[in-house]
Amino acid sequence: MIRFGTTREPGCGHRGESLLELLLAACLMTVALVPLFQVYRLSRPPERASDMEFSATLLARHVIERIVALQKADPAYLPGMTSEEPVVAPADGFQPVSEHFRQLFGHENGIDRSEMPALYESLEPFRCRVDTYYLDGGSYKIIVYIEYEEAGRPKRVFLERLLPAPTTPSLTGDTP
Amino acid sequence: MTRRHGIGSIEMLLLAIFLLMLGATLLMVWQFSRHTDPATLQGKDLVGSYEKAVETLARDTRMAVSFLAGREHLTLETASGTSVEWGFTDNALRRSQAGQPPEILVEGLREGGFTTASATPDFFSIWMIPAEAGKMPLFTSFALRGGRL
Repeated sequence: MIRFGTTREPGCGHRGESLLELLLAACLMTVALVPLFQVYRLSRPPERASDMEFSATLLARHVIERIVALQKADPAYLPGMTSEEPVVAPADGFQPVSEHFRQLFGHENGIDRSEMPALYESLEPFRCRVDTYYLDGGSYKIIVYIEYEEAGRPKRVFLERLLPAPTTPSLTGDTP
Repeated sequence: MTRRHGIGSIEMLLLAIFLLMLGATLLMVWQFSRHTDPATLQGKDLVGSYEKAVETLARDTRMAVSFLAGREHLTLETASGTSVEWGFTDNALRRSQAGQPPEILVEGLREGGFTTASATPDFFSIWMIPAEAGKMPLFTSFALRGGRL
């Protein structure tokens, strides 16, 4: 009597088990690659921002520092909210320069194209916007946005700063 | 249970895992030694030099209570009376402080300087133009904090 499906050639089962072990080994090796990848990722230097992103961060810093200096000089100072404004006078001259970039280098409109062409051209793509929010507890949050285009895509860098509420002169006491 | 030999054996598996982990460790050591030393990063590119200069200037202005700025020189005074000198000489931004060796923070500049605005006291701006055309100029500002945040 012939029985189908029960006969095995010598070594067939062993090959099946070897294949299983190979797959198991491959799985474990794949798992072992995870720490390898993680170690590689962690040991990589932090990704360097693009030149434009770095410039935008420095411009936002300029605005924050200016606000800090102005409030230190005058505790009643609070920056107003502004729309997007250029940081240097545009060639067409239609839009006013952001107030935070005026009065630089002795010029009403800040950085002058004829005097400092390299600096002017590097800052021309940037625009500045300031948002001011009142927070519970009497403090204010200032958010400075520097917007620009890079590789055809709009990008934005922002810095935040908490400011104490502007102090106003005391209203108590005798009136003259 | 029979003990397997050859490529599918547990010994080979453990060896492979061990080699992978060894490779990961060696790669980690190589990466750290290559990239995490700020001194090696500093001189390699302009942005790295800018970052270092801005960080150092921010640290100095945090402690400063007054300053004297010329076009190419800046003196920061702290409450304790110590002063830090910054200046653009020989196409480089340099910093010097009593008791410390002078530092060169940014090299290869075409020009650079400091500027102030009378309407904004205790505040100055710094700008730098690299000598190499096409490299990014720098412009930013600092407010004196006098030891406060």
